[in-house]
Amino acid sequence: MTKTTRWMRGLGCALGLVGCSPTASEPPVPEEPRIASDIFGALGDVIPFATPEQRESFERGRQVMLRRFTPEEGLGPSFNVASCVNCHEKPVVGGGAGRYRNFLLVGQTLPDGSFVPTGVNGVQPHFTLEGVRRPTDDATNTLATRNPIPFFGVGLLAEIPDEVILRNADPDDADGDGISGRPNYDRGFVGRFGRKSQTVSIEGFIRGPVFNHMGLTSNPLSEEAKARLPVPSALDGLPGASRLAGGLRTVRQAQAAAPDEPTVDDDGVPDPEMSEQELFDLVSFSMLTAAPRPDAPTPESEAGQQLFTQLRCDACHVPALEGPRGLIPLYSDLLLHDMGPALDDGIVMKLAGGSEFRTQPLWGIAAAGPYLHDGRADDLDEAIRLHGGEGQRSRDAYVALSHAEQARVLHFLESLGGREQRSDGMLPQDAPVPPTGDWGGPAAALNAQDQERFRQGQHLFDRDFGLREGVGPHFNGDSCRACHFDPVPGGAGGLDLDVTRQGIFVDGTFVYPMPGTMAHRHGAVDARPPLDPRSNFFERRQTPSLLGLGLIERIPEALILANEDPDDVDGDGIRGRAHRLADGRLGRFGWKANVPGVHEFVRDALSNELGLTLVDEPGLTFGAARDDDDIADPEVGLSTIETLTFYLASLAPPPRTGARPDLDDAGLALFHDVGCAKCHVPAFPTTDGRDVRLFSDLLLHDVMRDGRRSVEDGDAQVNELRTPPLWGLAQTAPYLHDGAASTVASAITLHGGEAASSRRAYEALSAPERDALLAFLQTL
Amino acid sequence: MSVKRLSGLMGAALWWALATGCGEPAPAPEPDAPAGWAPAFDATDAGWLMNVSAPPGGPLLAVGGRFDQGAMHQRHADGWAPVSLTEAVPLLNWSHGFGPDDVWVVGNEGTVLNGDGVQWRRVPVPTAQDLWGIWGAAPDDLWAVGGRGRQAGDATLLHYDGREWTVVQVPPLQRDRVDAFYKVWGSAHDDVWVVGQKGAVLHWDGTVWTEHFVGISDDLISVWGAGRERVVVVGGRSNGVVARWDGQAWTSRELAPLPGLNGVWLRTPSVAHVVGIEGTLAVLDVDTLTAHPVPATTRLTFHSVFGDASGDLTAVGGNLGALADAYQGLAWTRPLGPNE
Repeated sequence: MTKTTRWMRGLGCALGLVGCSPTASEPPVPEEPRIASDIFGALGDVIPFATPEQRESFERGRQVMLRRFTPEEGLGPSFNVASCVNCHEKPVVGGGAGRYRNFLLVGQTLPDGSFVPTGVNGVQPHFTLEGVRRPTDDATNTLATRNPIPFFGVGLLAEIPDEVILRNADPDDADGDGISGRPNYDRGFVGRFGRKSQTVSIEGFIRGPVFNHMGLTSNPLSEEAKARLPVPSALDGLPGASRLAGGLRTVRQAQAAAPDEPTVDDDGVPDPEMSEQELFDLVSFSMLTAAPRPDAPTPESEAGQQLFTQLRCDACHVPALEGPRGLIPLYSDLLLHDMGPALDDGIVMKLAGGSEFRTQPLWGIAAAGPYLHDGRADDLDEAIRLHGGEGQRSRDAYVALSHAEQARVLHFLESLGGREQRSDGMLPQDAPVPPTGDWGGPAAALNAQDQERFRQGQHLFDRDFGLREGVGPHFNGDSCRACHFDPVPGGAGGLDLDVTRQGIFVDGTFVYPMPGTMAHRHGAVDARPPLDPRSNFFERRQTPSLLGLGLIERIPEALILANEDPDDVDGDGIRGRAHRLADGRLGRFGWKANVPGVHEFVRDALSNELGLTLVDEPGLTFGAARDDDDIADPEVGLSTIETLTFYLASLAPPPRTGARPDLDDAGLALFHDVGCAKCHVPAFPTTDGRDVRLFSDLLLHDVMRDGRRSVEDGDAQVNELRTPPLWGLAQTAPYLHDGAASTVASAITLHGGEAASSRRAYEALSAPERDALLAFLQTL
Repeated sequence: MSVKRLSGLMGAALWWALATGCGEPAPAPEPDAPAGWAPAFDATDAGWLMNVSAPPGGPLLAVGGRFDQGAMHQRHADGWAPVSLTEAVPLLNWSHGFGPDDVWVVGNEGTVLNGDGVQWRRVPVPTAQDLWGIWGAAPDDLWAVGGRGRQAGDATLLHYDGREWTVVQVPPLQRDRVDAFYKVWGSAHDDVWVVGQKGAVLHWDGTVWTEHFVGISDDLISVWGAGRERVVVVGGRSNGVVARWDGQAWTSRELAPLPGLNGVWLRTPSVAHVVGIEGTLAVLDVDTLTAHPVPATTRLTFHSVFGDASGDLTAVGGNLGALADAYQGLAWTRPLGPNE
């Protein structure tokens, strides 16, 4: 594998873009390819050479990336995520994602060794619109974890000719260096995208996941649209298409090799659910993302680069491939390599077998963790140590280095782009504390010490916890922010982050499953968390906003209890019952009012959502002390718990937005007239006299529509839910405990039980009155 | 440069001038055929051509059309001509004949036509599934296969006993969710092969259907053979795949970078002709499973290939899969070699 090392010469100079030009006195040397110009940018930037028109398409595509699709817009019938950015968010749009966005590839390995994808084209969706966790197909006997992959600079990779990639192929290891490398193919072209280089077309690589992970159908781009894409993507025969010597009209452009069949589904929304313009802009956005800009060389990074070469990392992580614009320094040969049995995932994709993976490009790697195809490595050092197969020799050589030398290698890798944008979670490294009273800021002005404590809490809340820190064995998120991010850390979460609860109904009676009602989304690598086989009931649970919890905690218990009317003594049809925990504490938080305070909430979430074990705290009952992963218990100490508790207890409630004082009285009057305020009590005072305008009584009510049920939780029955606070309503869609309503209006009409009369009153309002009420609710 | 080649280039130049200089919409041009091949007829406006075949003693028949209107073209002594159909039918997909007066054609939405040499009549079948393939050992022993490929239960097996078509229960398959069968071919009434989604291969021995595992999990689109001990299946969708049955066992091979294959035909045990996506035309050494492709000159899709008694090899296809109203057909031909 020495054929390409010539590209190494001068690459360091070229990346530095300084000081390498021959002087006039030096003899002329044959011109070697240079690093392509005008291709670098910060992660998420548009590529510098983009035209004004392309920049407009890039921005439109970015908006499509951010668009959160609803069931009414075609999401489903099965799905893992509701928007593209859900998997490509870190550190910016177009990147990867934390482990909470891991997903499973699934298939059936047959007796003859062939592999049939199951699920939805080989992807296991977690959710269904019906709220049931989509079962694993009976035939599935192979599951493999995948961590989302960044796609910065893919337009440049799309332009690299097949022949350039094939120059590095050595499938039979003819040179005997232990590194083989073979291409994958897609419709006759050399594949280059995906963990197994299974795809050649960016359009194909977008349409596939959009359907498999979101359930959004699309038509292939028309030839006319393809002809306008930034990377040539049209079939032959088009006016304006370039022509080969000899006059043939054929132009074998790899990007034209996109699947040419429409995707269809049966969710009741007309196909295609994604418009051609949206698809065009998405493809354009991807093609126009800039190559990650490397850092200027330093003595440390240059020393690391030398070690990188000495270790023979560059045998697979080829520094650059030559495209039509010059050398593209991606640090990958885009070929398949056998990575050994420990990483074998059993997934066959075209020519790639279970242990074969594409050499991951290293540009921008500093900001791309977790690492490896399944995200099993917390950091780059661990990723290197997990290399096997063809990478074993280099891995062993790395391990044999001194710590200082290993640090230089890592420093070099981190110099390949993204270092400044790296985040421990999603917030920038130097994210400030938002202003007091603002979204994500503290509720009250803090002294310097508490301000710093709040900042630490904000960082902890946002931070991705690693597997080595104890996340798992089963978990829903790897950070608090994973679920509570909307519109700021501490907020609510989308449909695709719902928690799934399981339960067992026997003759109408709820029976608790083992080990509990939580049906975790993530488990061990290459496995789906098990369910209680007796479970016959599933329920999606929306992520509630945490903004203002500290204020709710300070509402005097007596004021909450004063609204109880469990026997409907006043005959208004509204009962309301406090949730008393077994130890007598009053439950205030959660859809079932099952959590008594912020401190307990933190313990509950760290254990049940992140799979972290906690140090015991006298008088507190939530959280697990032990689990069966390989990390010593407790995995989280008091400091972390207390800092998070302080942060959440200090978070400001959602500020009112767009309030119209002139309409407030009318809106609030309608709110009372319709009867909403009977449960959604507008405000309580705190013990220290603050007004808490939460619009909830914090009591349990039967508001289930059409006799539906939910999972029982302690004293909260299957027909009971806590009145959810309405503050911040505009920013917490979708609505209801199971996310069944995409809009507030829909949520109102889906109220049942005790709320049926209010629903009818709402439906009887005139259109202007309904609009006024809805407008008022949007301002809370 | 041959005159024929020069002619092709002049045609291309003329098209280029028309497309770029006259301000009027240019029709989709017919691609140049590769060396050795020539247009069978101008199929640009013929719709998609899904299959070409000829019954013993009968003329070549190409079937296809549009989703909403099936069509046929027949080769006569003076060239190809459209076949007149007395009723509207959807896209037609495959044909099989026993003679000029007994030809069967299947198509979308459970369409089955029978031609007696004078006219075509629609024959009722107990399914509305799309039908992709048909083959028979005798006029009273035909099989048709199909399925929309979307839902469990779509995969369809039909049998004709000379009087009526009946649905044959698809046997339980170990392979998960095979929702379409694409082609059927046999060497005799007790040696029938069916291929379909996800590498499905079934064999009928006259009594039962048996699932075979050929080492492929990609869709297998077509099957043909030269006797009980020489059967070739092809497919792949993206990359070409092939498997050979020698009477005892299957041997399979990935053919990448050869693109996915749709059609196969052979008359001698060692040479098969295969066609597929991305303009793929190739000769396959059946013994070594090695493909020898013709350099592609089009990105259009070939769907079927057939050699007729007159010694011509014909491949048909079009812009299959493309959405749009601009259906485009393609029909190329070349003489068969002595050992082909």
